Amino acid sequence: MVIVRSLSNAVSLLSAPLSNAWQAAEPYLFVAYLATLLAIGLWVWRQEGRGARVLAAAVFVFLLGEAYRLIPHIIWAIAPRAQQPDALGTARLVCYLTTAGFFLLLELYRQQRVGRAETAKGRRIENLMFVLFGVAAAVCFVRFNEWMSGESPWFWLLLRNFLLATMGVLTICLWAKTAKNDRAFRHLPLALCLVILFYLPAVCLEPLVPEITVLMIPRTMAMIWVMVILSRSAVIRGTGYSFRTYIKRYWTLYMLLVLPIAFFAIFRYFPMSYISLAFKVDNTLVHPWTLELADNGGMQWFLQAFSNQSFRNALANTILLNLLDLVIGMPMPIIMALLLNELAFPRYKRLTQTVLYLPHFLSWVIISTIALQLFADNNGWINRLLGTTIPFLSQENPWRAMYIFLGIWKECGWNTIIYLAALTGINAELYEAAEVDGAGRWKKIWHVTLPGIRPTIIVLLIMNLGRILGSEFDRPFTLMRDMLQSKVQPISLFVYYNGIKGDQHSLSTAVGLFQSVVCVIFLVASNTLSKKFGERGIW
Amino acid sequence: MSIMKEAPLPVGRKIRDGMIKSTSTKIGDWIIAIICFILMLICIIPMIYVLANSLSSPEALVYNRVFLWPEGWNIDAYKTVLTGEKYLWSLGWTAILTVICTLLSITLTICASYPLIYTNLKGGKAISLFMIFTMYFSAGTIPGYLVLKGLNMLDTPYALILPNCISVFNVIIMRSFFFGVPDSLREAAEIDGAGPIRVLLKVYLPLSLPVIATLSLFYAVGRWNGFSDAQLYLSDKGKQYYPIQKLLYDLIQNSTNTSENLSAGDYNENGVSQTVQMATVMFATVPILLVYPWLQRYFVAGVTIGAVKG
Repeated sequence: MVIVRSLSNAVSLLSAPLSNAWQAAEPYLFVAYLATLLAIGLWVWRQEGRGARVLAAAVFVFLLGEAYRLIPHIIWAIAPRAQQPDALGTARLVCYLTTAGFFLLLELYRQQRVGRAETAKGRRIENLMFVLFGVAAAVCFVRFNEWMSGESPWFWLLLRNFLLATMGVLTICLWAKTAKNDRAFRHLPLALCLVILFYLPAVCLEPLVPEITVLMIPRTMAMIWVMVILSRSAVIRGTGYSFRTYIKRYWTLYMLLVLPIAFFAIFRYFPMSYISLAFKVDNTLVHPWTLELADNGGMQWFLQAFSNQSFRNALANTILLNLLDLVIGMPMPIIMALLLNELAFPRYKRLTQTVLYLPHFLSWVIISTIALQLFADNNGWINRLLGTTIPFLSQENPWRAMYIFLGIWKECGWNTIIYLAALTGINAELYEAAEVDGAGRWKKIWHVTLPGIRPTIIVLLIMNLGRILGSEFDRPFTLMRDMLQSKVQPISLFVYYNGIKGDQHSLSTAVGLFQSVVCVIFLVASNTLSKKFGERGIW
Repeated sequence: MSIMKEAPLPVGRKIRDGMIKSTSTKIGDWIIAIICFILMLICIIPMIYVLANSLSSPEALVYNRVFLWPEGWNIDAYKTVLTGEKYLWSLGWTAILTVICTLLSITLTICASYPLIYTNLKGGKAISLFMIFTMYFSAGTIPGYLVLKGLNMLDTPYALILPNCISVFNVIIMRSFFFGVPDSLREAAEIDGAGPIRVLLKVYLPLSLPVIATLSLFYAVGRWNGFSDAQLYLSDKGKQYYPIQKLLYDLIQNSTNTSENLSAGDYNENGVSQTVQMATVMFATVPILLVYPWLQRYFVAGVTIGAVKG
């Protein structure tokens, strides 16, 4: 040890001028110096004997210990506004720790090559390595937090989370190892999957909920415990594979799911946490979880909505328009499908189908553009052809009728697809039998075709009932005229004008929540009912 | 094989195809054909109206003389659109956006649906429940808006790309299609040493090209026709990212507002005559109308699976 120390001192002394040259802003020289050290270290490493390895290790530790000087510069290069890294000592500590860890990794690799990795010594080395890496990551984590506090949150949060994730990986590996008395790196893919799966949403959401990482840490630990318990059972239930084989075989599938799950977590589930805004005071600067309850025990916004004439109108309009859609719009595609089914000329039928699908591919903006012209009050072509002056789109009831009519025009043809598909499933022998019994066209439709597509009709009816309080945005918005807005707008427009244009976020969140909850209730209720009457539901 | 080929068609099919028919049904067939023709006319007349208007002179439109046949033939409106930087940029941007969104969406949809066909995948059921739940319960407009606001995505293209990039409905369609691929193919590939990813790339994707094409069309149409997200998430600050539908909407709002205030002769006050609007409508519809008939025979599988298993 004395020799090692004196040697390293000697190297340190020799390198001092070069090291100072770096501080005099001579980066190339410094890099060359590091490269030389690396070459020496590698050369020593390749020599036989225990002493050579220790010496090489010392050189490497020294090498990376020197490299700490680079760290502040790297940080400044990436984040110019970062606070002055006062603690170069920390950087040096981290570098020493990491280097020692890498050395142990190399040693471990060598042990494995000579087939002694499974011995107690090999395991000791591995444990030590994990501890070193873990401490280094922890130190980095703490220090970076301080350094980066002047930087834009995105950047340093990302960095911090990366470090946290590294720590997570290491912890999982370590746990998997101690739990199974197994080589830790075998579980690296699993650990990576879990950490990415877990941290990706957290990282993305951190600007919104700064506490999320703090919240995440205990959960990570809980997850690790689950992993430990899992890894103890020899065979995964229901798969017949051992834990190791299972992970080896399927980890790619979990990786495929990472991005979709992140999508649903961020854009579908995370907004649900904002639902609590419906019960809180109106403030969007911080996450609603941290806000206090609104008046009347949090129900203020609901009370306000229901005492608001404009909302009550919107509610009534939504129900009215959807009911009309259900009653008039629902049978239309069925009739059209029956018509198409009876059409005897195959080529003509295909052409008809193509043309009837056309309106589905037009957007509401375009449909409203055309409709506003064709149905204009005074000079529109429809009025002219009919010789009337019906105010199609500028009075309440005609507007509602037009809303329904245009909806049917757009989607009727498209909705026949599903009925036509159901029609092909009807057994042809039934028609034959009906024919033999002397049934005409109408009787066949009534007694064979309609019962044949009844399950499909029921399913669609349930789904439409589930949407009874739901409302589209494009359709009413594009058709709306300013003078009619207060009279015929449905809930979606009420939410848009009050929430996004009018900044009454709590009120409109409350309205949206009411809408969603009613939709779910209707869906469940209609499904239960249809099951009770012996039909197949949607789940 | 020959026996299978010569297997007779079901008799009922023959009857319905018109091989055995009485006179009265023949008349009925013609009546149905005529009704269908009228329905077709109803669907197609508005498009002809737009086409005729876009090809007419602005003066003819002011006095509303054009119905189904252009008056004062010219293609100035198309020239205006193709030379006007605003329209061309918006069209090009919408096209780029559509391509990006479609690629992203279809990739993510495959990623989301493929693992779910492994019935012994731990957590698979929970993950599909996780996805399907969002179909029935959503947080609503405002929470979604606030999240995007917090993520600094308002007035950026991300607001148009990310929030709706996976449709659960399409994931279900895709998964059902994958389920339809025989398991024996997968097992054979696995015996040959292929991992899940390789099985996906070499077995499943080539077999499911029709459904991929259909879902791509659905996603592309959704993006091309998408209006509400631009209206909700883009303000004037994000004006350069307006997709074509939003541009068109603003165009028409402006011109109706001005035409309500001004007399008919000042049609050009806003710099946008009605013919140009109509030409823009043509540009906004024609790409889709050119594509969808070719994929029509695949719709059926897509739509039915989605609705029945939803």
